[in-house]
Amino acid sequence: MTSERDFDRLARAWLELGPDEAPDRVVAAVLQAVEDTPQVRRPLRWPTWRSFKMNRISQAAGLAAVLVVVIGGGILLSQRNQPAAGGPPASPSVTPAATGTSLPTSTPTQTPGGTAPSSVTPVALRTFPVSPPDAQGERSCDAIGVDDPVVGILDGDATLLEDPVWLRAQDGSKSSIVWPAGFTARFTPTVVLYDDRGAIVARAGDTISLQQSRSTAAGSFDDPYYASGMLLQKCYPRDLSTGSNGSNEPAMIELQRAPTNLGCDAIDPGYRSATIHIDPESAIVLEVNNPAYDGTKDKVNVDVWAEIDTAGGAEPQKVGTRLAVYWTAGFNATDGTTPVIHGPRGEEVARDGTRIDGEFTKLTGYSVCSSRDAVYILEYVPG
Amino acid sequence: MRDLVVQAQNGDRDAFAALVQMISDRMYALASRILRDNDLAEDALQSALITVWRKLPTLRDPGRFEAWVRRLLVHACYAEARRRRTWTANVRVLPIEGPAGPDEYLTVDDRDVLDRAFRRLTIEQRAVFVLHHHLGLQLTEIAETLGIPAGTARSRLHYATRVLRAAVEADAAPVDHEGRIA
Repeated sequence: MTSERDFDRLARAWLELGPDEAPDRVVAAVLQAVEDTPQVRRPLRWPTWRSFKMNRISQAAGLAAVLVVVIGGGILLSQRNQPAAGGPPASPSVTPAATGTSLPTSTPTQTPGGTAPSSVTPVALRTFPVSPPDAQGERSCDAIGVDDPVVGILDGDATLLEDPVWLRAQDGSKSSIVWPAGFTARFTPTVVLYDDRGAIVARAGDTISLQQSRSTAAGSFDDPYYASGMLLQKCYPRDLSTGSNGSNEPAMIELQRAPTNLGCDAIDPGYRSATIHIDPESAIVLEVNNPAYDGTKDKVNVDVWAEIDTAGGAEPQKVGTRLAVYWTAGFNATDGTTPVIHGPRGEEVARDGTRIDGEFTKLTGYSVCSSRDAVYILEYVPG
Repeated sequence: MRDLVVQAQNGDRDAFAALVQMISDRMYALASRILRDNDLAEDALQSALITVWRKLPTLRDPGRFEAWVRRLLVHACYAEARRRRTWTANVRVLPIEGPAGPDEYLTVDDRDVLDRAFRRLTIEQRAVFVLHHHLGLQLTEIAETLGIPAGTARSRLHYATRVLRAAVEADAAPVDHEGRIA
């Protein structure tokens, strides 16, 4: 038996092994990258802690003073932004601006993306600056990477002046969002979100997936998420609702992997056929096996999944139930105009809409092992 | 360091470069131990440091800079680990003879066993284990660093320790003539 002290010593000795110097090329790459990377300016927010205590009266007085400043400033700004009678209307534009609560500088205009109702006053949102389009009309991104998307349902309340529009997570919790400059909301009576050009981005109840980059934000008002991922991959502006994608460059498809030593037991999965769906922009989150296959599961925003279309067996599942799809290492996905999954020999195995049915024994010659919550596509015949 | 942080918060890239030089080795060492893959560790470090630059103005207390960077780095490690969600064979050549490492107490066999068992842990469990055993952080510090409840940090450390200890003990157990663990 290894004593606790023995094990601690062993663990420390083992962890001492390994590199202790960052490669110069990494440091150089970082310093090169920051040359072209703007910093996120801190948005206007309530202080999270104070070095002094306020009593209720002074808190109320302070809040009132802040509201006066915000509302008064808003009125002044609104008046200043009103076009002179007979003059040209203000044109929607996104310009670098000081970060903070900003009022819309223009009235959204009709665009192919949707019609902005003119009878409802736009509501100001907290915004961050966005670089203007370059000569090719492309916008630079204020974000890196496309990991850990923040997924939620658009929700809002016009009476909550400081944070009227947010994303609601599956568990009902609220995530505060700082939106790109020019974004506004209207309540008709439910919230409708508009981009800087007046196009509808999403409506209340729509699922939005912000391709947040490794966010460590808490999603609170004081530590909000930034909707910066919307600017990635030339996809801004775009319809952020589930499944839509204005990008010319579809996102990379990530396959859930199956280990190559998987056995397949004859069980009743509760279905007879399912259809594979492939959508790199999907906001669908499923519980999938942890990479270590240790019995735990992670919630992952999947690009590929299957949906039951024929129930069956002793304990039939509901039609439409989503299943994770796992592929052994030989399968790869290409994300051209039509995403396709290729087999180990390069042949097409599946695309969006491919059906797997019958006894679930083969998919284009490959073994299919079905369970109640997943389908495993294997490049070998399982034991 | 605090002055450099404040300068970098105001957009001073030279100050940020100095900060990177000061912390990059420590951060790389941490990432490589959590990920057990030098390539992934490089990617995580690069990603984290760029995020540090971007978000530096949002850091409220410059005195907490290094702890904040550590938190961003661990999250970058999570992202890297999930991005490479593949089951590649992690084959490494271990020296057959000679010192196994800085501590003669650790045998080559121990290293191999620990390496394999460690890869079975989730990335979150690995992070807690490394922060505790490599950096010597206490559970409350780990919880604060990762932004998780102390109880969660404790359970992750407990699980990780249990798995690794079990692996070491199983490896050390005598084997009978039929190859079964006695």
